[in-house]
Parts: sequence; structure tokens; C-alpha cells
Amino acid sequence: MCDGCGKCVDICPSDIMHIDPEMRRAYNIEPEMCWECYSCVKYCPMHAIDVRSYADFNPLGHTVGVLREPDKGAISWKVRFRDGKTKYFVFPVRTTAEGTIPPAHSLPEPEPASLESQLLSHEPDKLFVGSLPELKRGVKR
Amino acid sequence: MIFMSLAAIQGDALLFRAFVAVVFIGMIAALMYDLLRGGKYEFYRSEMRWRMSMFGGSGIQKPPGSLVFGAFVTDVLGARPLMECRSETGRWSSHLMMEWGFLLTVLVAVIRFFFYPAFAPLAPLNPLAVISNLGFAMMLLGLLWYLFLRVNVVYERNSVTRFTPADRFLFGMFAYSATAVLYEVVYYISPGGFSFIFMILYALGTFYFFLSAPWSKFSHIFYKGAYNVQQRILQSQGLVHTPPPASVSYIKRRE
Repeated sequence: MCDGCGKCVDICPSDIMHIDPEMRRAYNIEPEMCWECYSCVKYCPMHAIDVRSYADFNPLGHTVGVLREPDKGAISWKVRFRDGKTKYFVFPVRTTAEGTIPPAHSLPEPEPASLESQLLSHEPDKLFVGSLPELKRGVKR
Repeated sequence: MIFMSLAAIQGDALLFRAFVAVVFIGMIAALMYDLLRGGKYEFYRSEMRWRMSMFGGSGIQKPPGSLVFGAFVTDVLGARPLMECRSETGRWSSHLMMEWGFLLTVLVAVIRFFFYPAFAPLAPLNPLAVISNLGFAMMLLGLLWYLFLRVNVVYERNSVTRFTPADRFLFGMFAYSATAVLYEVVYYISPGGFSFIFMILYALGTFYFFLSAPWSKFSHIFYKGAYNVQQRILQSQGLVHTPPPASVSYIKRRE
């Protein structure tokens, strides 16, 4: 049941999820422009959004349910096929907890001398290795 | 003589019982009207038919009583879905204050209907009066706190005088609790005829709040609670759209 939290409004890439000003509930203002990215379905904390395919594209009916669990870094799917079979899938989304990856602007600015280095930005630290192999300078081919 | 008659009206048992009965019946009628209006009940029935056709079949287990009771305690009394959805402790706390305050006042009203039927407030130190006053105080404090936490209507390009169903519900709750407190205070100061006016105001505030289902969010008290319990039952029966929670965690700790 929609709580009017507005998370689907924030996440919709097409900006077609809006909040009804009278009832304070979310609704799709242009269903025909929805491209079924499932962002709103995944993000809704109340699981109140359901995407039902167009009847001309999917006349015999199937259902897709999704559950995003950020604390486990997993996303699960429940797909009921047209012949009645139901299958479940679980995929990893990330291996770090949400909010733990520092944004780029919070990292220290690199030194100008690092342009001479063969290492890319924040290597080897962000690869979680001690060092990376480098080409030896001055070696004749 | 008139003042004595007005005082007698405030202590009349039959009148109080009739008032409570009319409020209760009116509340049920208003909820029924709200449920049938706009196709809400039809939508619910079609949704359940779709759900049963998609996920149902033979061998659906009846949910155990412990599941239903546990869902009622955590999801209705504890408002767990609200905390999970909004993750705002202040909003959740103020909501719980209003909810529990409302339940306390209703509980006292039911007890008074059977054992102490009268409009006239009980003595201040009477346990029922203490519980009732606590309930009204919780409602008013929760309401005040909630009003400070609610979204900035101007920021959302609404008028300051916006009066949506949610606003009408809060107004009704304020009318119910504020008139009750005022009536009690005036009655203690002057239990005569002057308090009769505030008794009328209290009656009007109570009518407005409990019969406001067609024009306010009053019905969400029942709909949200029933829906949350139903969702837990449907999850246990596998009749939900969403998959079960993952049994593994992919979050790895970095050394």
C-alpha cells in the first residue's frame, strides 16, 4: 500500500511517477511512456508498485516480482511463466554496504607528478592489492 | 433550575450510552460508505481474484494464530511498515503517540459505556480519568510533533491553507482531543451549566472525527492495519508478488 514517501518519484528516469496532491499517493502520469525499467518497483519500500505488461505484448500473462535487499547486497526475482511455472532468482548487486563507498569529491586531489606514473587513479589501493607490475623504463626492445 | 437541569444532562447515563452508540454506528456506516464508494471494495476483490489465479492453488495453509497475533503487535501496534518505509524516527514516534493515545481514549470510552456512563468527567485521580487524560495528552502532543515534522507544503508548491484528506484527519483528531480536554478543565472549574457548552463542543468534535471517513484519512486506521496483517498472512501462504528474502548475503567485509 503506497505511503506517499516519494521514492519512486525520485528514482523514475522518465519522471512520470508523481504524487497526487489530494490523496498524497504516487501514480504514473503517463503509463504509455513507461519503459518498464523496474526502478520504481525495486525502490518502493512498501512493494506497492506492480508492472503489468501491455496486453498486446504479453496477452497470456506472466508476473515478475522483485525484492531488493541492500543490507545483503542482493536482488531477488520471482517469475511466474505463462505455463504456470514459477522460478526464483537471486543476484548479487554489490559487495559493500550502501553508503560505504566514498564519493569522488571526498578523495584527496592527486599530485601533478602522478601524471608520470603508470598507475591509474587510486591504484593500487582501490584494487585491494599491495602493488601492480610496472614496465621497466629504458628497456630496449 | 436550568443550570441544575444542564448538570443533570451531563450525568445522564442513557444519554451518554445513546451518544456512544450513535458515534459507533455512525463510524461503521461512514466506513462502509467509504469502502463502497469509488470501487474500493470491488478493486480489493478483483485484486484477490487475480492473486489467487496467479499464485493460488490447492493446499493453501490457514495461517497460525501466532502469526496473526504477532503481525498485529508488530505491524499495527508497533507500526513497523511505517518505520521501514520512512526510516524517520520522529515521524514514527509521533505516529505511535497519536495511535496509542487514541486507543487509550477509546478503551476508556468503552469501559465507561458499561460501568460509568456519563458525560461528566470522572474525578481527576480516578484511574480511568488518568488513563483517558494520558490518552488525550498523547494525541495532542503527537499531533503537535507531527505537524512540525510534516512536509513543507509551501515548498511543495501548495497553498498554506491546503486542506487535503490528511489535513482533515489531523483537524478531526485535534477537534476530538482538544474539546475533550477543554470540557474536562471547564467542568472541574465550574461543573454547572457553563460546562454544558463545552460538552456540546466535545460531542460535535467527536462526531466530526469518528464520522469523517468519507472526507478524511480516518479509514486508514483500519485499512492500513488490516492490510499489514493481511500481507504477513499472504507472505506465509506464498500468495505475494515478491520473492522471499535472500538466504545469502553478498556483503563482504574488507580487511
